[in-house]
Amino acid sequence: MRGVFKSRVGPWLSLLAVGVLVLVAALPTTVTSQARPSGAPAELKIGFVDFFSGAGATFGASGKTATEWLVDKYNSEGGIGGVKLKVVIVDEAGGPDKQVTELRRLALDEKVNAVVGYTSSANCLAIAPVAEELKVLTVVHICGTHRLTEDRPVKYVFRTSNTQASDSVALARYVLSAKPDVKTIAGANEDYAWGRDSWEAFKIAMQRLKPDVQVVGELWTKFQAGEYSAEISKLLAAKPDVIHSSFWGGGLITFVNQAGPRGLFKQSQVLFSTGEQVLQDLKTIMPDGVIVAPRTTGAYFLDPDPAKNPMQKEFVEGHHKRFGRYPDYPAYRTYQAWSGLKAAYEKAIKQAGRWPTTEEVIKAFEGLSWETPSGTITMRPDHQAVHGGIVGITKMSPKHGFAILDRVVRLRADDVAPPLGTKTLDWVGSLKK
Amino acid sequence: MERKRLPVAAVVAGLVLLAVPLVLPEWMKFIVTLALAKFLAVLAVALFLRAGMVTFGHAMFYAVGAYTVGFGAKWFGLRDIVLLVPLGAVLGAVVAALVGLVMARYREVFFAMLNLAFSMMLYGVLLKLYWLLLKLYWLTGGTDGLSAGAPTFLGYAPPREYLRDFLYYATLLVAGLAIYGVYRFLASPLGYYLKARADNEIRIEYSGESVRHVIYVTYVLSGALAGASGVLAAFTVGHIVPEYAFWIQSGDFVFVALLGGFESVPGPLVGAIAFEFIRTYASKYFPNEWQMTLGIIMLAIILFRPGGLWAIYEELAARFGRREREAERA
Amino acid sequence: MRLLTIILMDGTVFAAVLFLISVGLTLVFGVLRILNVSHGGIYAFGAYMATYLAIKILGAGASPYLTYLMLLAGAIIIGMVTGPIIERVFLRRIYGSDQHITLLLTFSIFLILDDLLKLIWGTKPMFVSQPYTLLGEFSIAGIPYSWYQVVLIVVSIVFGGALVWAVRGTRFGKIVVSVINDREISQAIGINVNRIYTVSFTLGAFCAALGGALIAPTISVTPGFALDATVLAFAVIAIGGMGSLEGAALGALIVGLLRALAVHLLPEADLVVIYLAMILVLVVRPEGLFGQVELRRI
Repeated sequence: MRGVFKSRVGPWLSLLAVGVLVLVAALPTTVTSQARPSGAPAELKIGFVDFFSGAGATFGASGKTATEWLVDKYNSEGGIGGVKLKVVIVDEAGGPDKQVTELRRLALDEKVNAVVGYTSSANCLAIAPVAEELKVLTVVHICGTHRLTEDRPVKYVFRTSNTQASDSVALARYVLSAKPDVKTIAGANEDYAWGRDSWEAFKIAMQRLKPDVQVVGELWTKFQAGEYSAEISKLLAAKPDVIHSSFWGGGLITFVNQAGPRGLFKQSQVLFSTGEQVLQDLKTIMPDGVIVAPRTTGAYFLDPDPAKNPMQKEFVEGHHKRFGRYPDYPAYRTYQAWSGLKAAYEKAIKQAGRWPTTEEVIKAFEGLSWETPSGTITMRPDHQAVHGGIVGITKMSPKHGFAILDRVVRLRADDVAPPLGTKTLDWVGSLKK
Repeated sequence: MERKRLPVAAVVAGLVLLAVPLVLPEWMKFIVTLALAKFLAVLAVALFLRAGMVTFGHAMFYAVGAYTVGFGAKWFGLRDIVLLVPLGAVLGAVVAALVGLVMARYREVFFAMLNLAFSMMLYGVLLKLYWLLLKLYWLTGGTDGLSAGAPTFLGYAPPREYLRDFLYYATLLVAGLAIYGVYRFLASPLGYYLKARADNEIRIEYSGESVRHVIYVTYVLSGALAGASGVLAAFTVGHIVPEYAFWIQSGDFVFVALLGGFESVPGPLVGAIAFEFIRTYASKYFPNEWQMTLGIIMLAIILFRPGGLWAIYEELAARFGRREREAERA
Repeated sequence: MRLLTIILMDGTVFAAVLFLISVGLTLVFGVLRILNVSHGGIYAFGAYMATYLAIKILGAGASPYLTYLMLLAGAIIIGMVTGPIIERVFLRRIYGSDQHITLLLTFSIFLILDDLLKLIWGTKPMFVSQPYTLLGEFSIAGIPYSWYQVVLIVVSIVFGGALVWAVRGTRFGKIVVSVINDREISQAIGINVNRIYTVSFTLGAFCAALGGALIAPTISVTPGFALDATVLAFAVIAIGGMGSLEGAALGALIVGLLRALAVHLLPEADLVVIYLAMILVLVVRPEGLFGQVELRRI
């Protein structure tokens, strides 16, 4: 039964690989610059799971382009330890039960060596126990819920980027330094865990950092609602100094589209935690002076300056040239995941002196620091990565044809993430200036 | 002829299903377990399809079953499948008994729509409860959901590597019981009235039976089936989210019933297994167009073989049988 | 008082949107007795096509006022293409089948349309805001609104009125009513019933596409946004009475005002208020506010 379903290309590829190996070994002089560690597989098969349908597809598209670009780059450089990478794409849409099935298929049918992906919090929480059960190394690239690593200890699951509480705290810190006299705040968020958690963390952080701040409105819209007229009216009537919103993708574009002409951005200082992601789509519609962040990612395509940072330059220019779009934060977070996985493998190869087992890769991953265009990422022993993040304020750039970030502030990892061993919610609740 | 063939087919099917964990690779075993679990809910929906009624809301009872597992594990430390399956079925039946009081008055599109509305209400509540009681304790986990944990079997916790087999056989056992129960129900006068409703409601009432009563009883039964289905699916998947109550989930149940064929009891079973495999392979080979693949298959079934996969099988079997008879004669 | 004004205004704006989304659905149900689940897919196609054409024409350097024409063109193209195809190729084969067959057939079409959108236009959000911003803003009770929102209200009223007139006051409408009441007799007296079905369904598809096209400038079109519109439209016509044009208008007003009330006074209830209204109405009046009781035939 198994044989029937197996792809027919596999045997031929491995035959080809063996043939090449024999040829290489037969040659009197060493041609390859990279010696393959003993026990190395013919290829390293890795699943990539992200949204390719539904509203989340706008993120998945960035994840996919970044993956294509990066994997091609790695493979042209000899792969990992001389082993080429092969990517199996899976759509994250369809709900947790589909994702659980898909992960099993990836691990047991496709026999992938590792999985990279998961944008939705519900999905990453659902697959984590399965990854543990099947012992498949899973690198979560975007999913934002702190519960992933805090509900119970994980062994096979790593997250290579900050949680969504970090986004809220970063915005709170930024807005308090940019507008120290904030008195009233309001929230417009989507009525599901992502929106609720984001607002809750922002509200508590603001109240901790400036105790006299008052909440004058909490709005809960439907998931990716198309019509925000009533919400905008309410915000206009409440006249808060600051409005926090974790809207994303199409919903965020729609909100900006409808709120801009009605003067919301002139009346209140608006904060968008995922705003950087839609700047290239919004073109000239995004007004100046809106505080936006690439969640708490350490880079966007102009910062660090590509002219001074070769890694950033290669990514930004390569991605833009190939796909006609600058990398946005899902792309950077995808980069963080893939480069982290690669660094862990390489460290494990060095430590073992041969091709490592998954457990050895996991050991190498813990405590690992690696370089990305968005700065140095450190993987803590609890499998949660920490890194700094940037926040800025929009300013139209005629050269690019869309708004870019002005007055960029770079927050340190310590300012936006709890110390090791502290639960995220406890940490937000005990923030000090 | 009919009486002779069916038991043989049933025995063969039963043997095949019993052998599944021994033959199939682990991930396929998982798919079949999930399909068997969902099959119960599909059976519930199929009951109404027989009566010519569509429901776009049975995910409601499915979710009741699933959250029975989630809450049970969270608050009462309950994770025994032998206890939770009946509990989920009873809770499903209780909710159905309440909602059914209203629902039994409705037919056609109104029945479908009202079911949809009720299940979407439940969906909203599951989404919300997390927040209304946030200050006290989190309740449903909102959209991020609850974790189901590993089930025990009459207090026995099987070792990890055999857990999946235990779960499979437990699911198979419940599915078997459900098949038997539904057969008995369909063979009862109520079952015949249910089928007759599709043709003519008023004549049933002329014969002295209240159609509302027939539908009410069926509704409660279907709630119990879908509740048990939710419990099994929750343990199989391991994670419970409000999407269990979403209308798309209800739509999937109807879809599967039609795919397999709702005129018979094995139809939904065939449909459930086929659906999970189609969905998995569609997303393997067409990761970007798996929805469309499902749509096209469905369209082809409706337009060319409205009886579903089971009807195709019966046709083939009949043709094969005829050839055999001809061979015997010759 | 000020709050009440704002709620009324917001409610009416949302009601206009809802009416545009749902009028085609109720029209098709009224004539063909089919609850067309693929309605949402056609709606999304209309929105995509309109946005695409508007972006193209702006890219060609045309006057932004021409974008309004493009919205209309997008709706007409999608309505004229999808309507006849879906009706002639698929629906025609299943007239007279059970309700569930038609529901599932149109559900399959919905799934296909949703993925087709992605294949044609990709997954990145697309939007064109010029039609929305071009007309400027005005203030009611100190709150700025866009004139385009008023345009939506006016268009809904005019369009709804035109449809009612078409059904009540024209020869075509009388023929349609005759077909609704008795298909066989209509055929016997020489009405081309098949043609009436095609025309009616195409009109319904055009309504869906027009709804999408007119709403497109206020939103960004992304994959999956049709789903939401579908369920909303179901709720609206279930409340108003399926198959009734006046019902769709009243349903849209009820849902729109309730939601505006919820947003301003009880934001927590935003999500459930629509379904709560639907349950209440259906429990009290199963056929909806303007629905007709169906005769049970022996």
